[in-house]
Amino acid sequence: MSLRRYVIKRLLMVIPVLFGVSVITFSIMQLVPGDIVDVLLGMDPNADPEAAERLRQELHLDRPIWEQYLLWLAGVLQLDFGFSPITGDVSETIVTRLPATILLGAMGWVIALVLAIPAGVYAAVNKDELADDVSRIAALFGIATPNFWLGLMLLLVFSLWLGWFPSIPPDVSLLHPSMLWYLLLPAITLGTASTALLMRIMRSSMVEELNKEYVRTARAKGLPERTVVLKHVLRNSLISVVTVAALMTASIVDGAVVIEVVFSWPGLGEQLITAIGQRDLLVVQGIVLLVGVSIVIANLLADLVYAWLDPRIRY
Amino acid sequence: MALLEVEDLEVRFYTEDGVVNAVDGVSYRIERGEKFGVVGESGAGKSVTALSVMRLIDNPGQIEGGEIRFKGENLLDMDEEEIRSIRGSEIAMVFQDAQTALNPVYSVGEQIAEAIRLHLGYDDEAARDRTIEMLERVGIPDPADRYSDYPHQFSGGMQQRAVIAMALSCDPDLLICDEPTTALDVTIEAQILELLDELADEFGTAIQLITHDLGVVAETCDRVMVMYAGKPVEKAPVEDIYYDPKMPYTVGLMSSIPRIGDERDRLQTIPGTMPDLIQLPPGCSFHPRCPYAEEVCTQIEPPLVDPETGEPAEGVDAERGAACLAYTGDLQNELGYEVHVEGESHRSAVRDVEEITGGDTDV
Ligand SMILES: Nc1ncnc2c1ncn2[C@@H]1O[C@H](COP(=O)(O)OP(=O)(O)OP(=O)(O)O)[C@@H](O)[C@H]1O
Ligand code: SF4
Ligand SMILES: [Mg+2]
Repeated sequence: MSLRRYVIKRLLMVIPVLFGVSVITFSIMQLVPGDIVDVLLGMDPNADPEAAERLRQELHLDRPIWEQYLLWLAGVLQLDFGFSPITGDVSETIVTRLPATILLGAMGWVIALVLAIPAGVYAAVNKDELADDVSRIAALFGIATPNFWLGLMLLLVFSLWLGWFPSIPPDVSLLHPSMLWYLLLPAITLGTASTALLMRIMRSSMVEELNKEYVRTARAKGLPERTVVLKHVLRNSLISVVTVAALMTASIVDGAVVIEVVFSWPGLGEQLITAIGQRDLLVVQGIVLLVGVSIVIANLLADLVYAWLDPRIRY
Repeated sequence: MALLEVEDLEVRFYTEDGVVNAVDGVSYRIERGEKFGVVGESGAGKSVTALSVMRLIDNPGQIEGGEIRFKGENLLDMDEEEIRSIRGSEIAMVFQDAQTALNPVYSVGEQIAEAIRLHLGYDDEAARDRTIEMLERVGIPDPADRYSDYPHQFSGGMQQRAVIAMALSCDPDLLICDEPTTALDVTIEAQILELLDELADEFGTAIQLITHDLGVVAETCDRVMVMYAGKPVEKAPVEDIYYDPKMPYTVGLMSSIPRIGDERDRLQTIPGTMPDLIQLPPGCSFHPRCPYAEEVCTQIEPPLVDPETGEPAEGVDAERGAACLAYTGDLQNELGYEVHVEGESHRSAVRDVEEITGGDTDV
């Protein structure tokens, strides 16, 4: 199987998964106890009956459920997530919030990878030596430390005590340097949460690969140890790291929700918490759908990287 | 000066269970262009000896004594940089299982070209050309197309051919083959051995061939060292090993070679297993399995001596040596076996060689 066929096959496999995600997201509305319209209107007994009627129309509540689903899906496919009586056009809410979250997530990821991969490699190469023990203990702390707590501590120390960072985001555009500077603490909080686990996976997968015969062949060729490790072993070890990294996207996402709240970061996570508090169900639904889709995409990307790393997959 | 002189090599592994004396006092030499066989059962220390020559013994292993002189220079004194310039360029190695010896995520061509670029300083294109030439030389069809294939797209035999191409790509003076055909079936085995033989002659490369199989040694090698429990127990030109083996262990190995044309299952193996290298039996380490063992064999460790004269033969240059108390005058009875050889030469008649007529003492 060529790489192209593999990619096509993999893309086709995404369709049923996305279908599942959409069904589950859609059913959020159905599972809400009581009348959905009342809930959407904030259980306000004085709510305008006309508004209620409009909502009923908009959600096609008079139609059978499968029609409701299809009409909703058709809207979603055109990026129309409906109109919330509380916050207005849901798509617009999401679009204004999304870039901040993507920036946070991306920076968190980069920090996680930049810390975890070299540290994992170093620990594996110096297995059972001091560096390995230090990294093991650091990883334990990393895994045991709750995200929000680390975030609060960083805020306390670096913003309040040392005053290196503002304690709320500056009121400037997202890519403004002072905004990026502010982002550093939340991104570190988010990234380090995944670092510990990723580093341990990197280390153990590398230790395993280092014992394989091809490593001996590479050394017998006279290659410098650096080439043996960084060319021959690293690529093989990354195969399992990529799989885990994809699975960790989910934890990055829920990490982001908590961190956005702690750092008042104007992203989707913070919006989600607000929306839940206000029972702003349409917004919740839109964000949940987006999260689901992005996790599916992350896994798809991981599989493509996987195929690129390992020729046995693509042939 | 011989190409390779290994003198009194000692290698130990410090494991949790204790200290493994994997190689203990091994000496041998290999002349330029010569084919030298190393034979012995699993765990005898053959691979550890070979890896020591490459200086590839890893933790928990340690080369504890001796010298390994290559072209007169002691490899054990060299720093990492110097030894790396020899690995793959002057001494190359072919491993047992080509499937695991190749890196699954790089193309076969790249894995060969890499060594050529490193040692011969070729640029990408020249290295590629030489790789294709080498692939062709080892009998891989359409080498230019197969260059970018991955190892899993090669059959077992082709993988081993590719590994041989890799090993010979920088024209080494010594090629160490560690059971190069164990993972292959019999017809492929014969082809690969023939290929090795032919290429070694063509490139003027000396071979150290490690195997379980004395038959293979007979077809390929000039001189042989038999190892048992980390020690050399017999050294001889290959004809002598065939017509006149001196050490009971060698005799046992020979009788475990199946005979061609014999319908009955004549594959006799030596009863028992090799002792634990952490705790070797006292005296001759072969005594628990030796049909001729006497009381004295449990007390005195037999030195490697010339079986004719009883003179010590532990040195690098000794041509003929056997480690059995029969040749030091300590054994009371004679070794009671006879060797019957049929066929014209050891090369054509190897698989039809000899028989133990039995010892009369039991322990
Ligand atoms: N990495 C290691 N750690 C511990 N012990 C080892 C290690 N490598 C080899 N040994 C020990 O050294 C001894 C000799 O092993 P070696 O691999 O040289 O045997 P061999 O003669 O090549 O056998 P085989 O025919 O099975 O390849 C064995 O008893 C083995 O247990
Ligand atoms: S010394 Fe004794 S035990 Fe060892 S091989 Fe000779 S006869 Fe057998
Ligand atoms: Mg071996």
